[in-house]
Order: sequence, then structure tokens, then C-alpha cells
Amino acid sequence: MLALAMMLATPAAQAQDLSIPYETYTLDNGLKVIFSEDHSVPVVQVNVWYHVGSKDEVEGRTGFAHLFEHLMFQGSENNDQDYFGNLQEVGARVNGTTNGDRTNYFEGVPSAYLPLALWGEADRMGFLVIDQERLDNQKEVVRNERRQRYENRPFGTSWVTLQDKLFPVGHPYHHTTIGSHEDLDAATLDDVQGFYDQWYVPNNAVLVVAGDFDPATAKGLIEQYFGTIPAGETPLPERVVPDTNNFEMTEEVVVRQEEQGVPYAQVWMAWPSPALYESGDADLDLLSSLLTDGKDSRLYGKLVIEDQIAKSISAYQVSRYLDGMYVIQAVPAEGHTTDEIVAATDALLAEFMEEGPTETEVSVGKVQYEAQFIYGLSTVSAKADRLNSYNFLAGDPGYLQNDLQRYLDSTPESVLQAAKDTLASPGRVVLHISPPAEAAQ
Amino acid sequence: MIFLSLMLACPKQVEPVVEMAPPAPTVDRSKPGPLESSNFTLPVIQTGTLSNGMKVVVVENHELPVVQVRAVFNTGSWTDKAKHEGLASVSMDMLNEGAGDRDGKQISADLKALASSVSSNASSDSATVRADSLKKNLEPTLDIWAEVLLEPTFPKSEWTRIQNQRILDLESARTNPDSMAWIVTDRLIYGSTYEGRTTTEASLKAISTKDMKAWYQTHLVPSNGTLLVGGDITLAEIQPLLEARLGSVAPGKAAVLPEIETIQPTETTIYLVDKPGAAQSMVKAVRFVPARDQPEYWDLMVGNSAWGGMFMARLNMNLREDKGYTYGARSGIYNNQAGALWVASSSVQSEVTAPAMSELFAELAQVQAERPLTVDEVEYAKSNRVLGYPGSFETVDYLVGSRSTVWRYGLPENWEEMYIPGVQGVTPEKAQSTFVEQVASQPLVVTVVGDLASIKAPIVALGYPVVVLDLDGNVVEDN
Repeated sequence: MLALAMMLATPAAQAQDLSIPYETYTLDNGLKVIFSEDHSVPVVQVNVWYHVGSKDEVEGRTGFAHLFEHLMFQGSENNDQDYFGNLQEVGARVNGTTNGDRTNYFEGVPSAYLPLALWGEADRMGFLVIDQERLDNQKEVVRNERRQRYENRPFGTSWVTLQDKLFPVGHPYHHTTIGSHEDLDAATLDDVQGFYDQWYVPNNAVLVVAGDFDPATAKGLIEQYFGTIPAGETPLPERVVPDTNNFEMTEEVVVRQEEQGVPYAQVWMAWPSPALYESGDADLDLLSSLLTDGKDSRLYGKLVIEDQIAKSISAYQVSRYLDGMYVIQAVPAEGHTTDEIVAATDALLAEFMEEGPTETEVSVGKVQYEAQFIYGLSTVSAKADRLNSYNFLAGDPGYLQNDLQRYLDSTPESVLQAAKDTLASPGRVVLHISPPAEAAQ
Repeated sequence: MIFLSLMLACPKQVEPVVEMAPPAPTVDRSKPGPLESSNFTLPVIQTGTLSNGMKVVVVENHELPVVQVRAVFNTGSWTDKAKHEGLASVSMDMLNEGAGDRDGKQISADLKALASSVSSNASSDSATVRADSLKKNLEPTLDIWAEVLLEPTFPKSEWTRIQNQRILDLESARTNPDSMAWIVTDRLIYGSTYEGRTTTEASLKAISTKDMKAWYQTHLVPSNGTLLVGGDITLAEIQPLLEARLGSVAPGKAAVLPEIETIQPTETTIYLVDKPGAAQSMVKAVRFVPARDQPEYWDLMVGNSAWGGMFMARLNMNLREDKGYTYGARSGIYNNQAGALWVASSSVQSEVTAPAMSELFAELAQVQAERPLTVDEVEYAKSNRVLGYPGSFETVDYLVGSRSTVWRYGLPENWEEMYIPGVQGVTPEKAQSTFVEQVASQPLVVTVVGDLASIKAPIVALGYPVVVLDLDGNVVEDN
């Protein structure tokens, strides 16, 4: 049985064809359009990315990109009502998200309602209604989002601390996307207008239409609704080009936080790591797989299954446009401490740096990623978002195959090298969060 | 200035547009109507039977080269006996910790090499062993799945580890506002029979691997289950593979799920649970309503949609979009074999907990009197349900999950076909009257988890009976 499994673990040297078919063109005002037909269900996805995220926020306005995303749902001149209003009526699945790098908006509508979706997106791109009442209301909503998803959730603010300590002051990822109450509260109508004029312009956006639609019809509708929206007048800032290790972290920062309402202690170890698609990025994903994916993996197998000093442990590479962050996160088993976990992890990593991974570990990791790519294409909305993501982050909507190939091209040597480049550095953040001492068992 | 901006934009995409005309006045920006609709056909469901009588249901979907197989059983944590709460759930957890000749590590390694997964879990009224595989690795994946399903070894050493993990999970649930609210609510609405008696550290420590084996042998027998398959596969392909692995297993005697007591409140009562320092309060209001096999089902579903079941419904538009008290508020109907539970839920800013609850009660009062659901609101909710339905059928997960629901709850085999006509048949009058009769005019169990030091007094002032409980169900204070 083992022999059979090993045989199957050998991935194809060349990935199977996973491409998402697409065509692309650009309007005179700079709006790039990407089409991808897929008639599997009678639904069409409209997916718009604006190339602005919390990394682009100015000092004193953390959380603003996300607050602005909320305002995009509050009405526009020709559609002056809640954005969900016209779309929920036709059973659409609608939302928007903001992260450090970008803001996206999407709706999956029954095919017949493509005009409605394009009309709505164009109207808020060109004719957003900005007023104090809507701003004040959404400030409260977003501050409640912060309370719900960060403050009132056990360990919910860990990420705020990690980014604060890992990325230096002034780094675009120093703060998290949700921002601070103080900064959210300080946002003014002028900020909203300025942000809209600067970033929400056709030449800073890409429109993907994917699914069950006729390209000729869509082209006509796009010209009608988006064609006359003027390009931005304010110059877009030059994109910062990702550069591995463009900041140096030379020392370990240890943070010990006591928090009301957490059930047990937990620890995060975080290192600065390569940006998305940079050399070492895919290798670090493969490293995560061999460290903590499965009961026979090195770190999970040792700490959770064999020695049982940890309840759980997971390693993952957080790949982003400008810089990455490699994280190992663990909960100690009853009777054990976060310090024991850190020591055991360091010992195991040191051993790993001597030995390096086996051929099998790396090839099994490749098999995992190949499957993940396939499962990642199970909905048209995921494909639409991926086209936009590749377009922005890799500069090529058709990057899917190359993306997978990065994993297939990895070797035990390249995985080891990436591990050394990232994890052997003394510069890292170790964050311990535990219940208040008096409450500890 | 314009020149500069063009230089900085992605140069290969942008034609130099020196003079950009303002929006032409001729552009029609009025709300557009629909194009011609595309056809939608429900997926074909094929059925076979193994030689031991086990039914096989297949829903094909050839979009991706993946296959999902679920063995679903009519059992679950409702079979847990007193002092052994958690038995069904941990027994299901333990299935892939050792099976046949493989130990847990080997199972994990073999699956990883195939990029497959085999998972098992129990809910209150079901237990499932599920395999997800790339088509090309289906057979070796099914070998492991069948071993896990048929030959689990329940190793003691692994139980020690999982027991410790589960105890920490319990502690975690007791700090999460949503699960805290459910711990308390379940105890109030299911009474002494089942779900209210949640798993405890003591009950986990009382469970032995021998108990698990006995539970497994009683409940995971072919006559108590069914096989559901979806993805890049046909009945002709899968049936022999399942027959070879399961066909000769004796059907066994089906265990029966016990009857579950459900308790309807007789007077709206607010139950408070303290979470000192909480930035928000978790508010849940619940009561039992007619389930899917009852004639009122479609009317209630549509009425609830309009009142609280979606973003644009009254509840969310009031609490979030008007007042800004919360990130979101919804009501929904959740089904299990004991019945259907109506739940309105929101996590609201601590300072405005009582005003938010007051709005919730006011929405329920107003829909009965001065603001009945309008024809527009009901037609909007129907349209949302009907037009949104076809999009659900995109993933293998949904296709198989939907068949699991039909089987577990004994719904008509053509349930998916009934959905659109069922919704379309609801009249505004029936949506209104059923929502009022079943929900708005009825007593509710209201649970609030939050910082009692700051939120309690204004809640007491709302005028409803208030009881302060701890997470173990003990009454701390009764007003």
C-alpha cells in the first residue's frame, strides 16, 4: 500500500492544463476588461478590482480603504439606494472585500441580469453619492465590524500586533486593513472625495466578466455604461515594485500579552518572507506542507502526535504584493507552555536546516498544490477573482499555469534554501497571548 | 498633469487620451431590464442499490476531475447517553486514527500522497464519513475510505491525545460569544433530553474506546445509512467500486434516533450570560416553527426572508443601515430532525444592547400591526429566492449536500424540483399571516452574552422577565 502511494505521489513534470480561457481589451479611459465564458450554470459574474488597499492609506487614516468600500454600497446618482437593493431582488450573490493590496467588488447574477450588474458597477465607479449621513452611519458599522471580528473574538487582535511588530513604522503593512477606532472616527467627507477621485477611476480598475454571457452583448453594455467615465485626473502613484527583504529585521522581538476572554495560551512565530510570486514564495508553501500538513509531517507529527506538547500547530506563508510573512502558530497541550513550543520548534527547524527535505516530502507537497489548484476552480466566481488577481499581482491574467509551475519546479534544494533565507534569520516576532495570570489554571 | 498620469498608468494598456469628454448626456443611465433568460435544468439524480440493500445516489458534474463520496448515517449526538455526552462525536473523530492495518499516521500519509481527504464527523442528528478525491486517484482513496468506515481500530493511545484536545476545545467554546449563546440556548429549548446536556470535561473523561466501538457497531451499519456520490463520475462507474468494498457487509439492524423533546417558551424571557469587558453583546432570539414537512413551510420561509432573512430585510436595514448598532443582523430557520428553529441573531455594540433589543422587539410588534409586510417586500423576497436558486447548483459539495438533506430529513425525492414552485406559490397575505402567527406574535427565548456590568440595567428596564445564567445553566439571578 505504501509503495502504491509513493508511486502516485510523483507529480507530472508538466502540470495538467488548468488554464482559464480569457480575452482582454481596454477602453479609451483606461478600464481594462477581461472576459471568460463558462456556461456551466446560468449565472454571470461581474468582478471589479480597484488597485488600492490599506497599504495605500495615509497616516492618521488607517482603515480608510475598507471604510470606503462600505461607502461604495451606499448609493450612486442613478442608483441612489443600498447597492444590495436591486441585486438581491434578482437573487444575486453580492459583496466586496478590502485587503492590504486591493479592493474588490463582485456580484454573481442570473445571466439575464448582466446589464443590471454592469450598470450598478459603472454608476458607483463614476457617480458615487458622498454625504455626511452615509459616512457617519458606515463609520459605526465598520467600528462594529472591528468589535465583532477582532475585539470580541478570542485572539482576534493577534494579527494587529503581529503586523505592528513585524513591519516597521512607515511600511505599508505596518497596520492592518481594519484600522483603528480613532482613525476611522477621524475620516471626513474631504477624505472620501479625495480617495474617490484618486483611486476609483477606470484607469485604476479592472473589470472581469465571467460565466454565462455573450461577449458581444457585454462589450456593448460596457461601452455604454463605463465608456464615458473619465480617467482620473490625479496621477496614480507609481507602483512600488516588490523587492525581497526590502526591510531588514535583525533582532527577535518577543511580545507577551495577557488577554481577557482567551481560553488558553497561544503563540505565533513570524518572520519577514518573500512577496507573492517572488523567488522562495512557492518553496515556503511546500515547506509548510512538509512541516505541518498531516500526522506524518515533521512539526505537527512531532509536537502534536508524538510528544503531545501541542494541541495544534500550523505553518503558513502569507504571500502579499509587497512583502510576505511566514508564520508558525501553535496552541500548547494541557500542562505545556508556549515557551516549550517555541524551543521545540526551534530545535526541529535547526535539525531540518541540517538535513533538508527528502525528495518524497517535496513531491508529496507538489501533489497537494496541484490538487489545490484544481479545487480552486470549482466556482466561476473563484475563477473571475483569480483572473483579476493574476492580472494585478502577476501582471498577467493567464498566469495560472505559471503559478502552478512554480511549485512543480521546486526541488529539495530550493525548499531548503528558502527555509534558510527566511527562518534562519534572527529577526522575527514571537507573540505569546495568554489568559490573565490570576485566571490561569 | 494628464500626460504624467498616463505615463504612470500601465503604459501598454492606455491609449493617450488627451481630451476626455465629460459623460455624454445621451448615455441612458436608467435602470436596465433583463436580457433573455438562459435555460436551467436541474441535475439528473441516478439511483442504484448494493447487494446488501444500501442505496447509492449519484449526481454527475463533470466540470472538474474530482469525485466526492459520502456515507451518511441516521444517527448523531442525540444518541449520547447521560454522562457520556460527546460519544457520537468523538467516535466519529476517532475513525481515521487507525483502521485495518494502518495507524493514524499511515492513513494521513497515504491520503496526502494521493491529495485526497477522508473525514468523518457527527452532528446532532447525522454522522458522515466522506471522501474527496481527484478522479485519477479514486480507487486507492476509496480503499482508505472503506477501511476507515468498516475497520476502525479506536486505538487507546490516540484517544488520550484527542481527549485532551477536545477538553481545550470545550474551553474555547466557552469563550466564543456565539457558541456561549448556543450552549445556554440549547439547554433552554431542548430541556433535559438531549442537546442541552452539552459535552463536558467529565463526560469526555468517562468515555472509553470500548464505548466508541459499541456505539460504532450499533449505529454505523449499512441499513442505517446511504451512499451519496457527486462529481466527475457516473452510476455505472461508481457502483461496482462501492459494491466491491461494501456490498458484502451485513446490513445490520438499524438503530433508531431517540425522540427529542423541544420546549416552546410560554412568555418572552431574556437570559443573560456574563462576558466581562466584551466589546459587543451577542443577542439571539429563538422559537420552534413548523418544519419543512408542514404546509406553512414556504409561507414562513418567504415571510421570514422579508422580515429578517437577508441584507435588505427589515431587521438588518434597521439595526445596521439605519442605526449603525451592528455589522449585521439576520433571522433564519434552521432544521434538524426535532423540528425547525427560527433564530434572529446579531452582535451589537455593548453600549446600545438594550436599544438594539428594543428595535428587535419593535420590528416584531410593528409587523403585526401598523407595518405588515407589503406586497413589494414579499414579492422581492420571492424573487430573491427563485432567481438565486439555479446558482446554487454549481459545486459538487452543494449537489451532494442537498441529497444528504433530502435523505436525512425524509424530504420528497423531488425536493429540488419543488423549491421554485413552492416559493412562487406564496401569497403576500400568507407570508404575512404565517410570519405573525408563528413568530412575531409568539413568546421567544432571548439570550444575550455580554458585559453585564454595563448592559444589564437597561435590559431589565425593557420590562421582560430577566434571568442571569452561567454557562453550566445555573441561575445566578432571577428578576
